[in-house]
Amino acid sequence: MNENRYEELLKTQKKLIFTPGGKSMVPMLGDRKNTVVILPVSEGQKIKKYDVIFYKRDNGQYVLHRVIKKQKNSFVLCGDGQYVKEYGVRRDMILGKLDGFFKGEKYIRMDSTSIVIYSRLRVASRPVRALFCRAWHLVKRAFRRT
Amino acid sequence: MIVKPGFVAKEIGGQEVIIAVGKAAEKFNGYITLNGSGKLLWEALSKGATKEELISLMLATYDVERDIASRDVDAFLNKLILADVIDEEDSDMPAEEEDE
Repeated sequence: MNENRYEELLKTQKKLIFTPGGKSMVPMLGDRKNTVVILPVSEGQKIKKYDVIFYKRDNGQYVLHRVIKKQKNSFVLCGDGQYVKEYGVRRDMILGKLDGFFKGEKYIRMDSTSIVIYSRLRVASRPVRALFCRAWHLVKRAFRRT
Repeated sequence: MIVKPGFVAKEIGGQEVIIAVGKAAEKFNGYITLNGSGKLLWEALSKGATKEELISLMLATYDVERDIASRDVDAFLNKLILADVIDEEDSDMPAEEEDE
């Protein structure tokens, strides 16, 4: 899509429907496997911890990641399939919020009980995943040297 | 007319839209907006209605002339064919006789 096309669609159509690529939101969203529905975020609308937001980085890259912490003037984000935190995501970078996604032909809303429980577990387990991944990288590096 | 697998209608943000899911989403990215009559036609089409049945449905539901109903159904079907959402195979057409 052209630059600013997403912003234009969110503004005019009040929704954005596409199939995102990448593995950063695995296991909730597979690489080009789930059609997602993004709704625009109005000015006064609150962005909460555990929300999955669609935002544009300062380098122009569009990203769909989860809010894992709210700070005074920004948000801390992380993909469900990642463990490295992204700091400094400002409100003005946020274009929309994930309303839900399709798993097969079933529409899974982000406020459904299963997703609410999953979101909390995913965020809570991030430090453990980070520890495990770093340990795994060290083991792999050690084996490469020997 | 047959709706291809992986296309579903869903109300999103107060608007009925056709979306591709699963493997169909690999080729179709985005959505098709449906108005009131479009929603009616889609529901019938999903259940296997023929073009003639769609026209009859329009005539039974709306106060329109047959040629207008036919034109609207054609426009609706053409949009779906162009988007590769349905197969053109029409059960209204008589089957060709095979030579023995």
